[in-house]
Amino acid sequence: MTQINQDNVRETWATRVGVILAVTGSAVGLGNFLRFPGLAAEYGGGTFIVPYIISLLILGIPIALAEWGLGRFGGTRGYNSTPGIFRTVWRHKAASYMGVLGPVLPMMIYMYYVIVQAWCLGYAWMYLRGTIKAETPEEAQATWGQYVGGGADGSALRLTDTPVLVFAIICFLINFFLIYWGIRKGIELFCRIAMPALVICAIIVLIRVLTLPAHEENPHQNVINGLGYMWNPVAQAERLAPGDDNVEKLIEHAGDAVVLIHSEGDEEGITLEALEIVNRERFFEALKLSPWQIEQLRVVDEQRFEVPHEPDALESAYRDMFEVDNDLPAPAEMQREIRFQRMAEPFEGRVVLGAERSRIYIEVEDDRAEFTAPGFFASMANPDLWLAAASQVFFTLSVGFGIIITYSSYMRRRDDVALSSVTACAGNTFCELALAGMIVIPAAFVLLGVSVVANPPSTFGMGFHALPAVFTTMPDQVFGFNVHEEWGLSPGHAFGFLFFFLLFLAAVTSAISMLQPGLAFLEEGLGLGRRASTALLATITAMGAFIIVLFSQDALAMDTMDFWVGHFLVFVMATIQVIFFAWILGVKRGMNEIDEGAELRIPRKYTFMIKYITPTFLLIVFAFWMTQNAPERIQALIDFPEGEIPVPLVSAFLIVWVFTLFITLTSIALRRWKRQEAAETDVSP
Amino acid sequence: MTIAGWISMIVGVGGATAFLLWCVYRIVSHPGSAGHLHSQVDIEPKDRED
Repeated sequence: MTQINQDNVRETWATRVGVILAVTGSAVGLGNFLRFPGLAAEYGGGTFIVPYIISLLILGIPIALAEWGLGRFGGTRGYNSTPGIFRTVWRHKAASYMGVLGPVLPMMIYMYYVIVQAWCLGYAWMYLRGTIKAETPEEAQATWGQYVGGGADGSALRLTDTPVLVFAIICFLINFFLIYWGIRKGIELFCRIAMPALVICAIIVLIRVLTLPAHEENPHQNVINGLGYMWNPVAQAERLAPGDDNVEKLIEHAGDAVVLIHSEGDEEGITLEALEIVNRERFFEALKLSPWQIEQLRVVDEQRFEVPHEPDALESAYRDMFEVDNDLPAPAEMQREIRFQRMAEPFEGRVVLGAERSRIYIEVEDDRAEFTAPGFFASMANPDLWLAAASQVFFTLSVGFGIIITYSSYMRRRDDVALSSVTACAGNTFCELALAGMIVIPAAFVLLGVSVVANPPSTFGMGFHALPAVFTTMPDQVFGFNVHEEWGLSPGHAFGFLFFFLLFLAAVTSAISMLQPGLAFLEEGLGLGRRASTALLATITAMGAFIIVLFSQDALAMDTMDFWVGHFLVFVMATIQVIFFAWILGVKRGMNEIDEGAELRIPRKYTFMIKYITPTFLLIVFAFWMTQNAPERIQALIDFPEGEIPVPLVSAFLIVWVFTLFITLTSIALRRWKRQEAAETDVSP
Repeated sequence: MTIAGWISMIVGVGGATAFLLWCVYRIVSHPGSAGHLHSQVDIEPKDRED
């Protein structure tokens, strides 16, 4: 082979590898490593995976294709924002209003995304300085709570050693500096190095997690059980044998339900302490089915409640015991003492409260009561679960909420949209299922315990608990080489810095992508220049981000925003987009648009899915969610303790305000576009 | 971990890996494809200048 040919081959391969890295790495970010595990934990681990995979196949990929196709269709007709692009598809003023969520959603997601980005930067900084304290689960939890201001509203504004507010401002300035100056080429080159580095880091962390030894005190906290929590469609718990004299660590988990514990025996019987109930309803059901009577429930302050023997009265007695009226307290608050006595006689023997497969059982000596947990199909009947799974697919693929439609509008007709979108989906899915899914929850299960996994600190918070715990376990010696002694570097700290810093970099690219749809709308809708658009966008997003930082207690403002924007509205927008593509533009015309310049021909059988299955699926889930879950979610917005700031309501108000503002701006844009079109018609011969 | 869990994990992780490898194969095996593929990162938005 000649030198020229060899150079060409090398160049071609370099281009291909570069393209693969850019396309697959483009959507890798916080959604993969932080949001996905948080949601999976929130919805019971394994029970989340099935709806997630189904949503990926029948929602994620079809809507990704539709969005890329719609964007380029509108772009070649002169529009880059969703309201403008929808106008090219349907010449009705309602079309632009239906597209208003396009610039609004990414902008509102940015308001809390930038805070998570700041968390990553702050953690990287703490690792770099060696000041992070995450040796034990308690330390990791304290570090997290202190850093993000989880203890009280306003505490994140304090200027401590690592103030989250300062990191948020730094992230905010970096994102807007990059988008204002349009330094995309540098970012692209950077991503081609940083994203593969993040994946390599994740693979090393994965190896560490898979080789973690079982927890010393609780051997059931091992990797296999951790993987089981993540992947079992209906989780299984291993039954532990009770001790001889008393019941020790009966803790078990059954799917998302459990319990347990720690107990002591005395002459009066067995006292189970620190009973933690993760799934209240199932626990009540289990108690109701027990063959023996619970005569006395005792709380730690010695206040006693006599419990009627009628099983149905148990729940009300339980409510009295914990002094609650309507809603039962959070599991963490339910650590109390329960005393079991059998048939009014002091019980001397063993009590086992545990779970096997999908059954919860209560065993008193030889008597055993079993309660069968909801089966797989019953678990799947929760519309909230499907909404969450779909929203995660949309979030992680950056589809359904106006980002891709804007970016693809800048593409040329000969550019590929088919293989590009499918490859981006593949890269994301790999990072989510094969890396994040295998790392965060199993690590949290082994190192932090089931109670942390079953009660995630917040949707994005799980990774900030589990990953530092893994980094702490990084060995100093690798293949006989002592990194700590030779280089004076703690491998855990080095990895912690590298991982969180790379996550921060990944977040920079995503954050910029979230700002671009708003920028495109303000420029083409209002005729503003880049400077004015950037300033307006910065003002609106800064107000939103400040509210998130201000109301930092338990990340309530962030979680409220993430639910109503990141779950609900993204779902609505995805539905609108697929209907526009399949029914208004027409699926045949849409597929022809995708085929233009395509490196991958989408099989025509797929049109059936895009036209019928995807929209039907979305509408069914939406209808069920509205009837079953919406009232409860809306109630949660308006229910707040007297005298306290209604944080969920403030977050909802912010969403409504931004939405109303953009509705007004869309009406201005519409008038402007009509004037422009009228002028063009007058000029044309 | 149940058998269903193992199956779910193998299908999930294996499927995601196979899907990615198939996409990579498509790009590598078609000489002209690399030049036409794009992602958010390399698309240059044509913003209005001031």
